[in-house]
Amino acid sequence: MKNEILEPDEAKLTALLHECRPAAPSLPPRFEHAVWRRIERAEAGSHAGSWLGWTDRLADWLLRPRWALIGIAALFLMGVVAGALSATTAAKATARERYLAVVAPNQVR
Amino acid sequence: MRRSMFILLAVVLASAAIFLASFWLGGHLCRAQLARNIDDLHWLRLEFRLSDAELARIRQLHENYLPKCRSYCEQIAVKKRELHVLLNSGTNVSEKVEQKLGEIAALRAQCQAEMLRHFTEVSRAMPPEQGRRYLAEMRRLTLGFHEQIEESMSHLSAPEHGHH
Repeated sequence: MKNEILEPDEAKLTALLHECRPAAPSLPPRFEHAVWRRIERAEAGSHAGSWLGWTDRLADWLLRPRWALIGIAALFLMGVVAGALSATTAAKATARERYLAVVAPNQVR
Repeated sequence: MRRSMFILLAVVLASAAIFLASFWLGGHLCRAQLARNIDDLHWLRLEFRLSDAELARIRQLHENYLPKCRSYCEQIAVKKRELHVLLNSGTNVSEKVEQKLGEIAALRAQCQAEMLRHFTEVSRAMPPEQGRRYLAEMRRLTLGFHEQIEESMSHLSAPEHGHH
């Protein structure tokens, strides 16, 4: 209790010190809200950038009926065209051998 | 493993199955369509995009050439049989064997000359550019084989000649 009773000089000193203390900078409006927004955004960004997040989104996208149907149709079309081209090439080679066998039999070549 | 990974794996497998099945289907349908055509000249029509008139002219040339080719082939086959008989009768390469080889070579040369004449006639029945391509292709396919062998043999024998 002895310490709580300030001498007049000490009271002056304390008042001076209070005057000298720099004032705390004023925070911008909605500062706290902005900080939380930044934290949430950072967390969401790290999840989206991860590999697992990417596969999740791709799987979701592929399971949408519209894209699944388009994919199946495209694959089917590409397969049929590739198969037909391959068969045509093979058939052409067979037809050429057939022609050669008639006009230039092996014993003449 | 996560659910999305299973989904992606299933999608990849299903895609491969769909592609392979449709590849087989496309090939099968195309082969079935092409197999209906059993014409010897089908390749000419396909490769050189000939009109019906051009193909008809070439077919005539083809029909005229076939008996000659067949005749040469039969003569060569007879001479080859005679050669085999001679070869089986002794172990040495006799004068008769040599003569028979010469006869076969002469017949083969006549046949090849006839064949080349036919190719030239056929090429003239085609549009000029296609005709040139046909002639080059036929020469490559019929005479190129021997040229390749001779070339490879001459390369092989070159160092040996150098030693002598």
